[in-house]
Amino acid sequence: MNLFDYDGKNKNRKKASVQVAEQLLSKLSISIAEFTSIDATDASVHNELFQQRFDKAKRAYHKAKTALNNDYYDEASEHAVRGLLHLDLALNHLHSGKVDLGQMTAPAPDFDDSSEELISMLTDAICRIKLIVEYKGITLNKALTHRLSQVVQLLQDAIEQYGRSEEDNESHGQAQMAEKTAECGLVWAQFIYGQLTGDELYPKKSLSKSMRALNQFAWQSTAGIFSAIPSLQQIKEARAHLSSLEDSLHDALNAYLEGDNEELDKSLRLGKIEATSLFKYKEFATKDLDNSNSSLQNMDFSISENPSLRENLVEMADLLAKHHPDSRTAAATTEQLQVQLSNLKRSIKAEKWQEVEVLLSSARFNCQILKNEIAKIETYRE
Amino acid sequence: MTKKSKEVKQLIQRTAVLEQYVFLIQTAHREADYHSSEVVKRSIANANSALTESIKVLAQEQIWQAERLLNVAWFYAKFAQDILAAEATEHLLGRGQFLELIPSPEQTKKRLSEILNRLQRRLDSYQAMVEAQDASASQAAEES
Repeated sequence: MNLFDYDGKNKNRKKASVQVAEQLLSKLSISIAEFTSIDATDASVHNELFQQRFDKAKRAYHKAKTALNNDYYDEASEHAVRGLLHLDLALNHLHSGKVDLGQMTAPAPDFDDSSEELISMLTDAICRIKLIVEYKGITLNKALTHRLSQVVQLLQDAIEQYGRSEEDNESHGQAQMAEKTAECGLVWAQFIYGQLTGDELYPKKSLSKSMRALNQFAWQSTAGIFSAIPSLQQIKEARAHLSSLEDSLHDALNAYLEGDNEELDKSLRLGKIEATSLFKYKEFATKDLDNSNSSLQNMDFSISENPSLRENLVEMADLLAKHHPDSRTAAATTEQLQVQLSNLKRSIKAEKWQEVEVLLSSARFNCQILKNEIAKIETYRE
Repeated sequence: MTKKSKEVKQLIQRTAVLEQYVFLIQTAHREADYHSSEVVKRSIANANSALTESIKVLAQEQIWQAERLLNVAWFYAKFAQDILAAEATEHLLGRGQFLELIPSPEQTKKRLSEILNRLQRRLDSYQAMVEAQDASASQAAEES
């Protein structure tokens, strides 16, 4: 072949790709034929998983064949390799005896970096919160329920970010994001756990230095008042301080994520002021309250909140964004409805009844659209 | 056996064990007829997706990435197992009051319908105001 013979090189490369793809397809085809004769009726091994992987191998074979027919050689090779891997897995399943879940040792990964450790800690934290809520028969209010589902979301985000990290970029990017996301989840978990039990979720030394201050704040600000929270939530001003405390923690975590230490300190200082006020309210609220452990049983955190319709619409937009397969129409409609409701109130106040009628008609039309959009939310199938 | 093929072999074995682990969790969840947890369902689905993805990248010889995805599957599976264990404890020793960590699509739909109904009731009340206004306007016209 001549130097600079680009076409020649390409032809050779193509020939090689065709050869590889055909060889792999042939190997897969022969293996599938051999597997067909295997007796997979033994229920003491993982024969269901064997069958699943065998079916996947057959599908991979058809995909590889189609790709080869269409001259997509690399794609054909990849499908064929995938098919062979499925068969390898199938064989493993056939040689593995079934055991009970309790007897099975979870094949824990080797932890290479701190993100794995933090994700495991967050998993554990969520389970501990669930256990304590169920054991004590606690009824969570909407705010805490929402916060807890955010912690679960943070766990998922951390796991996904961890999965997206790359080998050559391990110390930065996604792995670091996963670490920080898991840390945020842990702080919020502590904030919830502190309100429910007054206890610390983890000893300080298990957290990084930068996280200790945040975690300690989440714990101390809630631990001191936890036994009085149901009473505090009945006092409007105390409720406002509790909400500000949460805002401060939120701001502090954002500052931490952005690496802004000055803002982080400021948010923590503000938070501590809110916490001090709450301790004062606690003194009034718990004057006649028995602080013994028995009073913690059946704690009711479900002090009724009566959100405005506007707040309801914000919640609706949030839920649709999370659960709708394509929430653009629903989001635009919810936004329109928010504006229409404001305009309706204004027009009613001004007694512009014709305007009210026009707005009502548009709002009803938008309600119908939303009804249709809600129906599109798919129910999960296992 | 080359280092690479040895690594692939080990990964296949790990994938098989993990797949069996997820399968056992799924079976245990199906058998737990006292409660069907949404977070367990989704964790199982996420673990299975990670396993599928892992095989895809392994076919592209991205060994490090495949291993990473197996860890992802393990995190989800372990979480599902821990939640299942917590719920089994509550079922045996508690009052059977389970805390849902995430709402199911059915619950979400129900909540959205509640908000929509509240909104429609508000619009009905505005409509009633318009009608009352119309009625008083026509009464005034008749009187004049």
